[in-house]
Amino acid sequence: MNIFFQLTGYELKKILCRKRSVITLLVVILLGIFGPFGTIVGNWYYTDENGEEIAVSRYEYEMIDRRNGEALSGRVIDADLIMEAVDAYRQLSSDKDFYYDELFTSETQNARRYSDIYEIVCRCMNLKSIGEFQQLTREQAEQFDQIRRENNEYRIENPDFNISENVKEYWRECMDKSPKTLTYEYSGGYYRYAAVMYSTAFTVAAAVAIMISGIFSDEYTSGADNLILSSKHGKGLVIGAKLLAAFGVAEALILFLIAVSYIEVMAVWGISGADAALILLANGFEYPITIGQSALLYSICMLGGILLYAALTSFFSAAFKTPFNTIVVMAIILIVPMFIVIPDSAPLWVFRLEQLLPTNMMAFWGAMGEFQYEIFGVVIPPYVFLPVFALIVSCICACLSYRIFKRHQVV
Amino acid sequence: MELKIDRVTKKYGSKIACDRISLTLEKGVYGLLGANGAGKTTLMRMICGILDPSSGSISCDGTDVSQEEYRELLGYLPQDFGYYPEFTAQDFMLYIAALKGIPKSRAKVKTAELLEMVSLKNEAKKKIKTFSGGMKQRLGIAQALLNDPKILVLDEPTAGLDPKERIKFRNIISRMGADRIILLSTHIVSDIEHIANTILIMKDGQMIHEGSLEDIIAVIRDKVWECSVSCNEADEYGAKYPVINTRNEGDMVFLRLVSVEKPCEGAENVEASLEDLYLYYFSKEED
Repeated sequence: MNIFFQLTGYELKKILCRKRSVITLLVVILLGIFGPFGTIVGNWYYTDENGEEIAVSRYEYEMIDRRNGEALSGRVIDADLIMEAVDAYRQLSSDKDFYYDELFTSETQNARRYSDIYEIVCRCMNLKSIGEFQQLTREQAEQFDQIRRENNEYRIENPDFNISENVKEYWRECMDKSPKTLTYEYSGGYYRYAAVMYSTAFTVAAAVAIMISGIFSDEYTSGADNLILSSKHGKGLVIGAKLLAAFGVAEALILFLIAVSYIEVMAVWGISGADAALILLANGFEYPITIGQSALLYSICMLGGILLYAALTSFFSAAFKTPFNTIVVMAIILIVPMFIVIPDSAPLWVFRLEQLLPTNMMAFWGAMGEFQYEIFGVVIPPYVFLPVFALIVSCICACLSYRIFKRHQVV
Repeated sequence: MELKIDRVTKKYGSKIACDRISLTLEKGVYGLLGANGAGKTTLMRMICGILDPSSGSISCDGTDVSQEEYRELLGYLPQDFGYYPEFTAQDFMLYIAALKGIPKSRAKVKTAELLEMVSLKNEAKKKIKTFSGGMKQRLGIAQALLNDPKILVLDEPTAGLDPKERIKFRNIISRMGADRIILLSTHIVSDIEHIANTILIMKDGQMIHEGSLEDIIAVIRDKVWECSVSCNEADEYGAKYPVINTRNEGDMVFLRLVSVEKPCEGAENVEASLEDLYLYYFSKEED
């Protein structure tokens, strides 16, 4: 075991001492550290009634939203709150897009206080525009919880979804477990975390491809495979050590950036909202979990996605003779799914399959999405299935990499 | 201890790199000679278990080449092999020691000892990327000896070494051959001539000769001649006989050649060397 960890140490050194790794690591860490602040750097500019250009810092703008949200936190989303929001939104024009200048009028600022309520009500009551929201009556607002449940019931029975009886039952169970009335909590920190981590995970995946693409193939190109494969542990322990080092680097990097991003966004946008229902945050399915739990589960999905990506990189590194080929293939795997648009009419399994690609696995909206997986009649939510799937496929990839390197012929 | 190579064949498509080679190697130094493409490196790779034979088997005292126990006995210096440029010489040695399963405390002692032996003691903490070709080769030799191997396979070990280092290394191998099997391949015929107990000659994937220096040279004994001829005659002889050596001496040309009969009046029969035999077999191929 001691030898195994010694070998792992040397493999880590090999990965981290390469010039391409050092540069990549620096870039990704800098992006990861400063990325969350991207939306609060600089100013918004608008022209006031006197024609003067006024600058408002983006940070201050975000803080107004935070203060607005925190002022409403703890209030039940009932007819009173909804009608307050509707009244504020009725001061806005509904027939044209907003321009920057309009963002700073007193009417817009007043409506902005209720922007989260507007989002939640539209989501739960299936409203498509500001116009529909403005026309909401008190009677409808009083039926908010009932309409929310009816909409969910409609989705369950919608033949377009074509879901099985098991999934229908699962959806109903989730509805029963979710809160009957919603209490608003400001959760801007978690919203930012979900948004920021997708791009961070994407850059980490790209970095993983660059850093560990040579884990096996560099040995082939340099000729070190001669020495490794003719040594006592060359066809056993060292392969395990290589895989552990590759997976360790990938997981350590994403874990570090998860921690850094979490601390940063929570410091700026606040930690509140962890105990609120997920439906306040996600435009998806009403899983009976809190926003805090969803952030944790999403982080696990990201760890799974990066592990899968590292395992695929290791596999291609063992199979191909040069790191360049591995980087090309991994870039395709990373980028191409972003350009695939699946039509709504496609069967459900296509969406489920698409969700299994590492890139999609690392999106919050996918991990908390409405495409559950059904195995032998058991319905598994994506935030459970995706990391388990990633772990299983990673183990398979690791075994295949092990086998390929062990059987590699030095010609 | 006995390394048994039993009817080993390696084919690449229709090309046969090694053709039914059978050998039994016991303690001692074995020199493997052959032109480029004769199959020496292929045979060595198969002996080291990094290339599977198409047929036949290789084992040491019944332990198959594919087993970990076999690799434990092995020390290998490949012809071309990779270093990790960012590693220091010491790191590299310790890494190889870990690969060979040597505990760290012993590896450190052995590393210091071997780096001193190959005159790299002062460079132990320097990165390999700063090393010259000869220094890298010496480091390669040192790593092959880390586990005190019972089977030592050296593919062109003296390439890139200066004459002093070459002779030093030659002597080390000679000493080590007393209690292990050493298989050595080189183009420097004199190295093999000096240290090999048994000489193996490969041609076109086949082992065409195996024996002591005396036995091997017997093939051309009494057939090596030296003579001085005119330029025109030199061209004639060159076409007719395998010429080992040519040297201009004024109007005349000195020739050393191999011939069953006396090639000309004045030709002198001289003692054959291994180099004569090598050139006799391979001069045409090398051209």
